[in-house]
Formats: sequence, C-alpha cells, structure tokens
Amino acid sequence: MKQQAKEKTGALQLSCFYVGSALCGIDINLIQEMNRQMEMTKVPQAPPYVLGIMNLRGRIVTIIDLGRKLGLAPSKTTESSRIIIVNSRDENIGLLVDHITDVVTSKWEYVEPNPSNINAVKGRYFQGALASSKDLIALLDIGEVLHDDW
Amino acid sequence: MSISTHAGGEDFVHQDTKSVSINNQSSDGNSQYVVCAGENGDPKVPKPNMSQPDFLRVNVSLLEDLMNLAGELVLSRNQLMQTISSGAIHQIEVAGQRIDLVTSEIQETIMLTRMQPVGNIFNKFPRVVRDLARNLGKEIDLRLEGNDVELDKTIIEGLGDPLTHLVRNSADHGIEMPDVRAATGKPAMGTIVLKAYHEAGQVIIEIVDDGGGLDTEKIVATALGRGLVSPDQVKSMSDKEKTNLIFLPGLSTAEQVTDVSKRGGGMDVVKSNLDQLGGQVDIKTERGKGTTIRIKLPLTLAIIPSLLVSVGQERYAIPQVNVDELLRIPVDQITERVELVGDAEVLLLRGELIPLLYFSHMLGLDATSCEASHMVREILCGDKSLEEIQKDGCASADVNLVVVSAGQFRYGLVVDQLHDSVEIVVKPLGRHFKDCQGYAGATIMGDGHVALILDVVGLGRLGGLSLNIAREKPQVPKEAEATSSQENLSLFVFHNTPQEYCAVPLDLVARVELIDSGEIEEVGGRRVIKYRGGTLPVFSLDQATNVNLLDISGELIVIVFLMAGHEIGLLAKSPVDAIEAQVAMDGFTLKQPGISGSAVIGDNTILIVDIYELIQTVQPEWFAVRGSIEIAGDAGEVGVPHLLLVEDSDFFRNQVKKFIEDDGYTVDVAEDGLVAWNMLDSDPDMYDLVVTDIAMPNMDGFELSKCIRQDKRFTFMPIIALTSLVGDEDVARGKAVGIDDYQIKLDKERLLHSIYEWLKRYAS
Repeated sequence: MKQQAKEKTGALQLSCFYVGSALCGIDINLIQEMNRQMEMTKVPQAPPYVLGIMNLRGRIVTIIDLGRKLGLAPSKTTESSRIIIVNSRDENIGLLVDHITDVVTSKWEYVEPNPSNINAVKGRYFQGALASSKDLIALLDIGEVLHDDW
Repeated sequence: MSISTHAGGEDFVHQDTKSVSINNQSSDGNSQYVVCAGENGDPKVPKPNMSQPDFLRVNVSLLEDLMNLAGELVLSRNQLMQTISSGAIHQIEVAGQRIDLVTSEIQETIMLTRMQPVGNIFNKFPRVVRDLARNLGKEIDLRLEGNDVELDKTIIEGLGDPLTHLVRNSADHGIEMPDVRAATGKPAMGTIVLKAYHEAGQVIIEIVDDGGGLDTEKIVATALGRGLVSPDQVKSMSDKEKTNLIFLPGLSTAEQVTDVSKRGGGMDVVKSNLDQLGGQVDIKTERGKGTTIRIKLPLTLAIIPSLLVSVGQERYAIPQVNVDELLRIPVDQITERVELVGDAEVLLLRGELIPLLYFSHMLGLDATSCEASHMVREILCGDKSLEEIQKDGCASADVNLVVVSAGQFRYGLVVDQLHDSVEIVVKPLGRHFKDCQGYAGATIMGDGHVALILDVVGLGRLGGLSLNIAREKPQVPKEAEATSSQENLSLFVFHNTPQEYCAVPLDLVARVELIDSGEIEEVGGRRVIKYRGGTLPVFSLDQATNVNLLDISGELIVIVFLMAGHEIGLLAKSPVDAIEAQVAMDGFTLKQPGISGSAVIGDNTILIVDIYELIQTVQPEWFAVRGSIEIAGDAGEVGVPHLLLVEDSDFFRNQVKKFIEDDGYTVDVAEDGLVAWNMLDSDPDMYDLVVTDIAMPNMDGFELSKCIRQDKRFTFMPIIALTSLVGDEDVARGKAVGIDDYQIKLDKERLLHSIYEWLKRYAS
C-alpha cells in the first residue's frame, strides 16, 4: 500500500477532517458525499467499531466510528460531527468523524511515507503523511480501514 | 409520453424559476432521465471489477410500462413541488395520492421484471436425465410441466443446484434398472415428472418418480447407527418422520451414500439451500411405487410479509413464514405456563414443550427496561415474588413471545412488544456484519428508520439450541394422535365474566382482535366498531342467551366469525386460549338457546357456544333471504328431502345434522364411508343427497364418492363434500371422483344454500 502511494503522481486533493485530535485526509475522489444525519439503528452483536446502520435514500449504509477503528478514542457525536459516505467494494459505508476542515490541494509526490515510529498495526491504515501549511495530514487508506477481516 | 412530461416541466419552469435547474435536468424527456441516473451513480466512485456480468431478459412491453410510469412520477413530482410552494393543502394531498399510486405501480412493474419462468432451469434437465440414463443403462422418460410458471430471479438462480441434485437422485437411485422394473410388473421405461404450479400464493415444484421409493428402514438404521436419533424416538415416529430423517445433517456424507445405498447424498445441503430461499421440502414415498418430492417456494424474496416486534428502543422484523403463533402470558400466569428444566426455561403450549429464548440476552442488549420478559427467571427461581415485581411498576407488563419455527428449530422468542404485520423490502447488510448470525438483512420502515430482519435459524443457533432438543418436537403430536380415537376438539376458550368460561370450535374463528371498550359505538341500536375502514357489528353473549352481563370496560377481545358472507364479532374478556382437548360434551345440564352444552376441561366447566343460534338471534335479517328459498325448495320436492350425512367426528356430526334438520330436511347419519355405502346400498331410493366429510377412517370421502358415481343407481345423486380447508388440489381430486360441490365444514349458510341448489337441480 505504501508503495502504491509513492507510485502515484499528479494532483491530489485531500478532504481533511479531525478524528479526535488527529488530522486525517481522504482522497476527495473516494468520497461520495458528507452529511450530518445522525439517526441510526444499532446492530447488536456487531463489531465494536460499527456504530449502526442508516437509511441513505433507500440504501442501507454501515456507519463506522473512525476513531475506534483507528485505535483512538471513540468519537462523540457533537454538533460538528459529520458522516463521510465512501463507496468501498460496491457498498456504501459511512465514517463518523469529529469535524471537517477543508480541502487541501497538493501533489502525490509530496506525500511522505509513514514515519517509522508509527505502530505497525495502525500504520496499516495510513498511506503516508502530507505536510500542509499548518499541520501534518495523515493520509487514510480507505481500502485497509474498511477491510472487514480485522 | 415524453411530450407530456416535457409539457408539465415547462409549465413548472414558468411559475417558479428557482427550481428550473432541478426540474430541467430530469423532466426533459426520457433519454436524459437515463443519463442522469448514470451520473448520480458512479462519477467519483471507481466501480470495482464486476466478477460476473449479470444479465436479465426483460419483456420490452414491461420496459415501456416502466418508462411511462417514470414519466408519470416526474409529472407528479412537479405537481407536488408546485403545490408545496403554493401551499394549497388539498392539492398537496391530491399530488401525494398520485405519487402513492404511481410508486406502487412502479414497484409492481419492477417486481415483474424480476420474474423469470422456471422453464429456464427445467429445460436443462432433459439432457441431464438422458445422459444419466445412458450411463446407468436405464430407460427414463422425463416430463416437464408448468414451464411458464414464474418465480423471482434470485429464487430461480438458487433453485438450480438443489433441483439438479434431486432430479439426479431420482434418476440414479429412484428409478430401477429395466429388468428389475419388468420383474415387478412396471413398464421398463421409468418416468420422472418435474412440474411447477401455483397453489395458495406460493409456487410448488414437484419431482415425482415411479421408482423403488425410499427405504425408510435403512434410513432409520443409519440414523440409529450414527447416534442421530435414539431408539425411543424412533418408536414413536410416523413413517413420514422417518422419511424426513434423510434431511438430518450427518446422515449423508460421502461414504454413507454407499452405506444407505438409497438416496441420502447431501439431502441436508438440498434442504438448507431451499431453506435459504424460504422454501419447504416434503417427501412422500411408497416402497415399490415411487417418491414425490414437493418443494414449496415463495413467489419472491424481495418483498416479504413480516411481523414487527420491538426490544428496547429498536424494532425488528420476523419473516411471517417463520411465525407460528403469538402469545401473551400475563405475569401472574408465568409460574403455571413456564417451567425450569435444569437452567433452561421451557414454555408449556398445549402439551408441547417449547424452549424459550430471550432476544435481549442473546444479543447482549441491556436488560434495563422494566419489561416482564426479564423477570421470568426471577419469578421462576423465586428470587422475586409477584408482589415485588408489581411494586416495581411492572404490573401491567405481560410476557410477549413469538413462537417461531424454521427447519429443525421451533422455539419461543421473548420480545418486549409485538406490533403489526407489514410487507417489507429486504435490503442486504454490509460486509462488516458477516459475523453476526442473527440477521437476514435490514429494511427501511415507513418513517425512514432502519429495522433489522431476524434470521430465525441463526438466532436459534445463537441461543445454543441443539438440534436434539428441536427434534423432540415431532413426537408430541404423535402422542396426541394416538389418543385421538376419542373425540378430540380444538376449542377457543374465552371468558364472558371472570367466572364464566366459554368456548367455540377453533375452526369457526376467523381471527381475534384486541380493542378498547371506548371503540365500541352504539349506532341504530346496534353495537359496532370501526375496523379496517369498515364497520364490524359486535355483540355480547348476554344479548342472546342467559348468561351474566359482560362488563364493557377496559380492554376487550373481539372474536371475529365469518357467517353467511358477513363478519361479526363476539365481545369477550381475556384471557383467551386455544386448547386441544378430548371433550365429553354434556348436552343437557346447561343447554339453552345459544349454548349447545357444556364440557369439563381441566378444573372448569366450559360453556360451548352455538354460534349459529347466537348470530341468528342477533342478526336475524342475515338469514331471512335463505328462509324463503327453503320454502320454495320444499314445494319443489315430493315430500321432505332425505339427506345422508357422513362425518366421523361426533361433535361436527351433531352440529351439522342439527342445522340441516332445522332447515326442514330429514337427515340420517353415518360415521364413515363404509357405513354410509352400506346404508345407500341397502336402500337405494331412500336418499336424495349425500353430504360427506373427506378425511374419515375405513373409507374416506373420495372413495365413497367414487363408489356412488360408479353405481348406476346413483348417477345423478348430488354429493357435497365438507372439509375444514379447501385446497385447489383437493377440489380437483374431488371433481375427478364426482363430487359436485365443496363447502367449508362450518359455514352453515353456504352449505344450506348449496344443499338447496343441488336438490333443486336433482329434482329437475
């Protein structure tokens, strides 16, 4: 995966958001939409990082607590919370994030590999890091994050 | 179509410029419509490679219909938005209705596009069977029937494998070698019939062969050998249950196929495949004659009727096919109805033991809600007394449970509340839930919320139900059967006043409703309730017969009967119960108009209500019309018509005899077909018409009818058959042996009318 990030070139637009205190970004092309609909149905027995399911215009969407999935603190639903709907393997999945910042335009070439001191398990979820004007943005690998085998 | 759509769109544009962009995009003719849909779907989302392209043949006229409907929908949408901005409530309602109409039509049409003829899978079988026959050196004729019966695409796809398995089994193990067949006097050419047809809203697929049949003894021996059943269990099994052992997992692994030498290879897989499709399999076999495998399938999987229940804050849907019955056990009856076996709770239901599973415990939900469901164990263990529970504020909470069954499982699922039955659209759950056993999918409710659909088998497994427990079930009805030589009646028991127990035969009850006494209205001297958009007349026992006055307050039960084509409700008090009991009817002590007698069941004397007399008293005009017909019937006949009634149950015989006699006919009775035939044979000119039950010992209704028809003396004698259930298949079979008419056993008005009509025809 990290290799892949390196190989990619050209323009990159990242949609950035906070999960707890961590600033993360997703390639904007992977995002279908963002919304703030917070009504969801809990699914007993589901993995702990799954918050529930939601009705998105007639489709059933699984909502995932990104904070918990990444091994950070569970997200709290607040005024600024948003759900980012991404499409992964033919299925819509919603990611609950704490708040959304802005879109950063950069280039794939500027993406640095993961710092070597990042935990191996968590490292799997990141494609690399991008230094922006004020902060370091961790580039999420959606394919890995939404992998269901872990 | 597209022109009108456009026109509607233009109209709108002029009136409200703000919405132009939205409006133009989709209302500008059909072609654009399609493009839009494509754009919405996938621009930013790279579609993962489709592993197998899926195609579906759809009739062009269906597509045309859909295009029209889509146009119609756009038009209605425009209308709606226009009216919303103008704020005219009435017009919004009109537009809403129109959208409602169009949506349901679109839904139906879309569903039709998914329907595929079973011929698609049937047609590959001639080749399969031909090849097999050649390899095995057998002669087999495969006949296909009902190729054009349509089923949902997903069902058709799922049906391929199990059907192939079953047909191969029939050809391989069912049909014997030509010389064996010749030796037993059968034609050398074996026949396999594969047919599909509709019955009662379901599709039936049958695989019929005229081969050697299943060797049930061998199946039993293998099952015993493998410890799948105990010898005791086998002793109490009927032949049918023995045959069904073939579906047990473990009876059929590769080496056993040679072991059993008969069918059995992977039948459990066939069954579980069909279970997934919501289908049921049934095997009928006769040694030396052949085997019939019958598969019942729903028409579609996409929309299923379901029962809604709620646990905690969430609602859940249970597919209606799995629901056997709903029970509400009052808190104070828990100790009587629920027993602790070891540490497992078991419900006693009409002599059957049903394991109880707690939905909330199984799924690890908090047991914080103050529902009695959670208190059952505490009560049973004596941890908490009834008073304490009542003090906690649970006095009104009863234990609600749903008795569900699927495959080998049958258990009671304890939930917090029971709701309505609704039709739901099944949506798949995402891949993150693949480890959750208890769900079959999710659905979106009318209010936009999502509800989970429960998988009854998965929940059973989750609850740790072993197949052994579940399998003890078939023995119980068997015991009941054994003792049924005495009169065995299904009764619906209710209360008039708390001390007065009353009962009606369960077959007569159309359904039961729970109402509040406030819903009863007095209109024109009659009591009615509003019900499903109509009015339902209701009455209480005290109106027509001499019993204590019913206390009309609080919650009431309405027992709905279908009489002379009308519905009428009898008011009663809970608790109600359906029991199966051997009844010795006492027709003297408590006999009075409206009460046909009494019986002692358990410790209580129960009044058996004569519902005909009651309704005749309460609604005499319902019966007036037929009264005049009857007089005409008598006038047309020379003397009083003489009827022969054949019926094996004492209870029904007396009931039916009584009301036929009341109508001015002379009635003789016979308790089975053989007795009846002897009576007819000894005095051929005596009877004008025969009314016969179907299921009887010694000689059943079909046999009797056949005898009557084959005798020249009775060629024109009308035969009316009585059954408790009329299925198309029975009617067809009845017609074939010469039965003139079918009537439901206790629909008095219809039966009398039918008797009258046939007598008139017979006389002329």
